[in-house]
Amino acid sequence: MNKKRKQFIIVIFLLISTLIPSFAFSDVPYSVWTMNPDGKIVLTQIPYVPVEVIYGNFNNPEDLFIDKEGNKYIADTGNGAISIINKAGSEVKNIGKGILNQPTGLFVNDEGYIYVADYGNEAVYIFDKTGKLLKTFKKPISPLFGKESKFKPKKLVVDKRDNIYVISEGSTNGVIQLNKDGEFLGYFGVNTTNLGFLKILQRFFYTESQISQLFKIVPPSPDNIAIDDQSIIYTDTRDIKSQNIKKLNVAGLDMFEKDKKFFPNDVDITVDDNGNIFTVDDNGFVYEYDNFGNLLFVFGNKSTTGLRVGLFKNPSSIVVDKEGRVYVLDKDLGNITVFKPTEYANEIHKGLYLYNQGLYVESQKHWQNVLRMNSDFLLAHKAMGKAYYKQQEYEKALLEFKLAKDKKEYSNAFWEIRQNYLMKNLGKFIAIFFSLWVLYRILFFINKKTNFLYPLKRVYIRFFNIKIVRDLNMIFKFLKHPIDSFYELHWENKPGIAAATILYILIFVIQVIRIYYTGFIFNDVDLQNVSIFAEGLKIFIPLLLWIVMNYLVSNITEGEGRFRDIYVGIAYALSPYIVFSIPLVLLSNVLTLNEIFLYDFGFKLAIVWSIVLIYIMIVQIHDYSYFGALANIFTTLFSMVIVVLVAFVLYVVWNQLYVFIYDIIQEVVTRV
Amino acid sequence: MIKNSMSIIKRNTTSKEPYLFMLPYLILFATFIVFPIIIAIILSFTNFNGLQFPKFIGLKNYIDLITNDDVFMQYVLPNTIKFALIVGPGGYILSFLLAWMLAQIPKLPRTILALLIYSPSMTTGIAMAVVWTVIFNGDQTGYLNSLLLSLGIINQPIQWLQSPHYLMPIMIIVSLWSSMGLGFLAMLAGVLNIDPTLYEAGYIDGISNRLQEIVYITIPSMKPQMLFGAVMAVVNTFQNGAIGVMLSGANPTPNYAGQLIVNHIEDYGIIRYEMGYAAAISVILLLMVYWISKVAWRLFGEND
Repeated sequence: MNKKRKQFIIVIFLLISTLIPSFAFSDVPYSVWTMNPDGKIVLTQIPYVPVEVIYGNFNNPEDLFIDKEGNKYIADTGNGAISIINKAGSEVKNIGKGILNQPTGLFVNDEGYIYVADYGNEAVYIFDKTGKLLKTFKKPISPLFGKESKFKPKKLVVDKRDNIYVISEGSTNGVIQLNKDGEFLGYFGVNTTNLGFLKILQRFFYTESQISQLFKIVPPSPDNIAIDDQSIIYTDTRDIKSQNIKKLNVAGLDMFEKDKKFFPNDVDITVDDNGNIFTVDDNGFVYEYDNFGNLLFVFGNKSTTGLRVGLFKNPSSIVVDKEGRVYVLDKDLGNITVFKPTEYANEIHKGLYLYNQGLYVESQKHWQNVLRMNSDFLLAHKAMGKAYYKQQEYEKALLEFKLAKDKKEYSNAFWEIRQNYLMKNLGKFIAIFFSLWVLYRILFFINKKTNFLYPLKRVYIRFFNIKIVRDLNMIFKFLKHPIDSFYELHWENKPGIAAATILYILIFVIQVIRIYYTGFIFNDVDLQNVSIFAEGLKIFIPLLLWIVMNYLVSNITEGEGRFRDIYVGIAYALSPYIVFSIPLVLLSNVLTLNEIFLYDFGFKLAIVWSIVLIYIMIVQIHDYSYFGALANIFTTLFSMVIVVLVAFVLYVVWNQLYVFIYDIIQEVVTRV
Repeated sequence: MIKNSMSIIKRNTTSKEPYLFMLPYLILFATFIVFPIIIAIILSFTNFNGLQFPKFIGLKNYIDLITNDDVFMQYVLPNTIKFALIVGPGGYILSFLLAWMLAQIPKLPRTILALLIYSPSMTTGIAMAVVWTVIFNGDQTGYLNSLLLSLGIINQPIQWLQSPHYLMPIMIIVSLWSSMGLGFLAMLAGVLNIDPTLYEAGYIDGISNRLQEIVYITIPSMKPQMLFGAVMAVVNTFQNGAIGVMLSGANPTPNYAGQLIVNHIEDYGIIRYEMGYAAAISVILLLMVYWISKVAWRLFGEND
């Protein structure tokens, strides 16, 4: 190997190594994901690193709690006791031995009282700091609780007024709310059942007894619970896909927006002091959401051995302490893994803290740091945008909102910019408009007297007498007098084939313009994934299919139209779309969400109008009755579907044939 | 002969008696329509609170309206355009179609049905109270809520009339329902008035179906009625402005969802007593109505 070649290889190697993101070299045993502005899950920097593992003689521990002083309380389910480890980890204490049977959930309030949910004994116990049993609450006797309802407490939290919220197994009515004396206050935060369309129909048509036989829909019972500093309750239900995490206000209503998505199959949920929500799921993934339910990070993973620090075998509980450390309790390994937030996570949390208090401007410097580390971080762009918006730097805000793909905020910022522009220039516009109008009037008047514009007019007339220009200009006639125009098209060959071809090209050009020049607010196309070729196919294949199939179908159903009529007719029937699209696309660049109606209405009008014109076209050029035309349209659509199906089948068969021949050749090559 | 008739016309135009006959109407028209408009235009250049003497401020009201009134630019104008674009042409097309369909049935059912269809536009206020507010009542006793709840489509009653989301569509539905007014009656008369021999002649000349009949004979023969209907539809649309306030029971409407120009004028004129500003908005409204009527003239006027 000569020297030059060696150098070349080194250069290539260096180039490749720069392409690999730096976090690929990190020393944590899991990858970290976040959501980018497109709503996709992407790799990101490490927010938490595992720093420590706390071991103990736990047997199937189900729940972990950390109080204000940093003492850890573990519900040692298998051993039927509560373990308390002090902050330094030097001292371990066991309480409740002999009283507790199967403690699965615990909570410690500010005074240090320990509330324990015992699944085995079907009771809630309250201990004081020293481990002395203060109270025992069994199944509530209130008739409101329901005679049939079971009391199988699994988890619990306690609010500032010492009301106890108990998650009970199979409690379809929601969370059981007890006051400090153990009296039943009511159910809280019930889940809803989701009726499908079929169920609704059944419910509508079936008799009472049929319904009672058919199905019993009960809402899923919540599986886990957390409470924050403001006594807002968070519940987590494992088996449902939407609204599985709920942030409940005093009335028990969910405060998250309906479209927020959370990952399902969580084992535990917890909330930190800033309202960030942490969950851990079956697969050992830890999720962090901000307090509006936006995904911040996904980290952690599962391993069968559980030997590496930072991987879990069977996580059962998650807790965050005052310093933002995350503790994950592992049921099978009987240990607690401690994660420390990195600088990256700290900046995000500081930014979020200020952002949530409305201190957008103050939060800006944190977000700038975050963006320096990860320029694709959705929330940072959003928050930066808000900060700029608040400082009335709308241009910068606009840019940030565009990066965050936040159409609503973008629209607000754009509105301000547009308003400022209008304020400055409105007088100018009015003056220009008015003087143009006056000029036009004067010219018109002078022209009437002296006719000095005659040469210009002659050019104009001559221009519109060129066949192709005249033909193209006919699209306006098709808008105004469609029936007459299609009549002319059939009987007088009025617009030529060349003009129609130009219109087809124009339709394609309009599509391209729509993709690239529609204003941000109205543009749903992801420009990175656009292929012009595919867009062209998307337009021309249906059109071509329609033209050919319509010709074939109408030929055998006594239609009079020639192929040329259909070809030209379709182009002209789409004239509303051709005429309206460009102005609407231009308009979309100056409109905000307030005026979205104009844009939508314009396009809907153009499309409906085009469909009506196609219908009139079918009637006129084939000389059908109105019902005959409808039948023709449906037959054409049906035959189009058939053609697509046949094409698909042919494709598959050809593919098989190709593979078959290819295999034979391979066989021959290798064996002979 | 021609000269003779010319002189008759000439004599008629110079005589003053016709004006005398028109005087009662002219006086009433001037006092109740022309003068208020002129006064409104004058007031629109002033700052007037209804108590003190108006103070001339030039174009400031108009400049404020376009540059400073966020509510006007963000909600009122888009709402008005949306409302007018759907209810105007929608109501117009509906009244023509209904009039045409009614003209096809025998006299007795036609008269009864015409009365039935016309009645909502006369009784809007009462009908609103007894029909629509009951249907769209916000608790579970409202008809729509009750129906949806019993079908299991919704879990809790929706505050239809207080919700920024639903108020506008409801306003549009109610307005379309009550848009069969004078324009509808005129069109019905127009359709009935067409000489049936025209249709016969049309069929001899090759008309083959009802749609061609409508396009080539019915509409051209009733252009004056179509024009009247169009102008009435425009006026009706802008008059209906009170509907959002009537339905939601508040001005401004919840989150300005149903705020139309008329409500905005009321808001400033009658609630805030900024008469000059309200006058400026009403002048803008007047210009809009004038411009749209002009478009209607263009489309359906005789000289097309």
